[in-house]
Amino acid sequence: MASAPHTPPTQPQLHSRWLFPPFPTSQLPTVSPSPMEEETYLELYLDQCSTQDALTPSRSPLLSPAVPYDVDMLTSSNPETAFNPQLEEVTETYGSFSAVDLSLLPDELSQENKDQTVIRSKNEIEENCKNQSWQTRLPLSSRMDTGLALNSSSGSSSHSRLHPADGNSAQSSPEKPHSLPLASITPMTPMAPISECSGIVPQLQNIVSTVNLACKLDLKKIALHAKNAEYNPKRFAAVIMRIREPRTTALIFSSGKMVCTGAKSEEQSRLAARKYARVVQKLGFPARFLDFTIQNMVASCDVRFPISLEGLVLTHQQFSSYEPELFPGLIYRMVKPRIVLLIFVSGKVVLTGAKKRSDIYEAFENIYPILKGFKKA
Amino acid sequence: MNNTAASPMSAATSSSGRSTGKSISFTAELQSMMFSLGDARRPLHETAVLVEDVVHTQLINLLQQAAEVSQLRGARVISAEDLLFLMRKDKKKLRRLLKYMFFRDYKSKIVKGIDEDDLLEDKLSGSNNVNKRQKIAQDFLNSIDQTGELLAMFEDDEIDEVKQERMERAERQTRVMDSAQYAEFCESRHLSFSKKGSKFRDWLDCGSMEIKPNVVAMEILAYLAYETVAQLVDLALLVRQDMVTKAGDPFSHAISATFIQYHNSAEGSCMKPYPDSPESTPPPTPTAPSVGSQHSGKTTSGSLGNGSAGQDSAKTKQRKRKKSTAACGVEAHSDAIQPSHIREAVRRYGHKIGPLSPFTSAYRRNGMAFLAC
Repeated sequence: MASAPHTPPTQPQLHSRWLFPPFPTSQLPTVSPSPMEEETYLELYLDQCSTQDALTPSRSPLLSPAVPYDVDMLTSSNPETAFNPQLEEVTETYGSFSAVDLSLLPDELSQENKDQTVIRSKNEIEENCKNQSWQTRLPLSSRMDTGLALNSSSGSSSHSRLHPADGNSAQSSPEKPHSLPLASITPMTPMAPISECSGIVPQLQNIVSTVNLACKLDLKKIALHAKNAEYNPKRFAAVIMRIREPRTTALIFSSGKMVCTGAKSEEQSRLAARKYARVVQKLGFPARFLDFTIQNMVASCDVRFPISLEGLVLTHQQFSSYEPELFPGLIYRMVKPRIVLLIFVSGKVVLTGAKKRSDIYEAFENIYPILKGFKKA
Repeated sequence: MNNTAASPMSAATSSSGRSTGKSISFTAELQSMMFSLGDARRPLHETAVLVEDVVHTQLINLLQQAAEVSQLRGARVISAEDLLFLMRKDKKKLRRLLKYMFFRDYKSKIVKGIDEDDLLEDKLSGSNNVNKRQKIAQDFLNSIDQTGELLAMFEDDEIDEVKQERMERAERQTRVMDSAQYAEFCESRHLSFSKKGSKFRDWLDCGSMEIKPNVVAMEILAYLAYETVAQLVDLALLVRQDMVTKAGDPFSHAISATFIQYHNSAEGSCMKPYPDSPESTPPPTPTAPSVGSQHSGKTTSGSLGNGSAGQDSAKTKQRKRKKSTAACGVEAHSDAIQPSHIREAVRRYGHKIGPLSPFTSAYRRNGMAFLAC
């Protein structure tokens, strides 16, 4: 090959390419990792990611201008080992992660892989095949970002090279997940035929997640230096920080644990948590990103007919509680999956208590026929 | 029956004097509440006034007794424990109250998880709010429980028959409604005393008391007020049902003199069975006389076929157990509850029956038959 950075359209070559040291290009100032430049890269990347967040899944974010990025500097510890398993998974259907994974901080490897599979399984439920080709492109680009030495020009060229590679692998990707060692946690469930399912998809309203930054924090310092942070030690022993995109609130404790609330999807919650972690990191703390877990998901939807709650509470007594003078909704505790539903007379249904998106969908599909039976004429 | 001092009818002067002096009236809300509890679409104003009287009197009395109790233990505020103490003798009602408290806790836990602002509010206000009422109740009952009966209530999963009956009645009521009427019905079901906290406090004249109730105690009082209204409606519906002649009723010739007093001549001939003691109600239940359950109200004739379950287990019944078949749906009374029904209901309720009646409740001594506790 004439120039080493140009990638041939097959995976193994990619692999070998990544093993080569990064190539400086005109767009990248320099390759040497000085902290200042790292920060500028981080900032550029972050800004780009924030614009990318607004993009719908069907648009590939990498078609937008240069991916400037050199996270390789950060993951100097384990570049090669990081890649090899990841490369195998390159053709996974990563999903609509248009918010490119901000692997700004060295992540626990297993955590990263787990996340991929979880996200992938979610998308299996949501997306149909039409989007799959996009999905395969996206993970590749994301993969490349995670700890890759990407130069912008070679990035874009390699990106274009990769497309044919994606094209080849697109067909095989649906099968891939099954054969991968880290197979999806939730098996690919086929969409139920329209006649059986309700046709209504609950919309996520709020996600509460926690992450461990794994270092002791000086809350006062954070409150003083960070924008949009409040700290009132007499009232509550945590810093309350807010960011606008994704619109979320975080509670940051001095132990290093953080709670992130307000996001509307799992990816957004993760992205927001990473942004908060980055803020903390920028302030000089050695923040990491451990054990990101979604604690609670809240979704709501509307069945569009009035429901007789008196009838429902009578027949489903062991699951429902209804005290209209206290709360206008009926509280239905579904056992499998373990979800709490708030059912209102107007037909609005709120589902909460879920740790996975599939639980919410399953719970709604379970309750829908029951609600239809109590439709108020 | 010597509850005259406290019964609303005779105390009408004093309580009405109080209520006319006040400008606070819950009459309009009560009318809606009664509709949601089973009365006609537009309950009568007089009935609502009477119900308000009854509830007001009973709550004031209850508050005074609670104040005494808390004085006994040297506290500065009336708290939930005092009210729980007063109710300790009546297990069913206590259990209903506990369930209500736990539901309140549970609901705040859920609602908090939904809205992130609520989550923050809660965190900021201190983190022992989870299950606070449950903890209070459990700790207190733990401390006063000698025989283990009270604590057994926490694990008890028996169906609350009165609640069951109310649910069934509500379902029957709403079955025939269209969605607009149903929406109205639901709106009125949402009414409660707890939503009008300050008005409720003033109505009870809490400001002039030495020992005032705290927040949880106010919640319980609001609940008890609502429960009183519900009991009154339950009983009044029973009374009204009794007043209707039932064909083929073998006891139609037996009637008590006291009943006739309250009986409207307009209601027709006094062919109503009113046995002197509940024991002799037609078909189902010989309620064991030894229970002396001062359920002065009748356990109504299951003659219409829907004898509710548990009518027989007189032993478990405390005096508030009115087994109403509440077959009102069948008879389809479209008229509203009259004040006379309410009066009769209260009279029957307070009627002491059986040898053990003076011993069943702490506050019985003072003469007031509390409907809600």
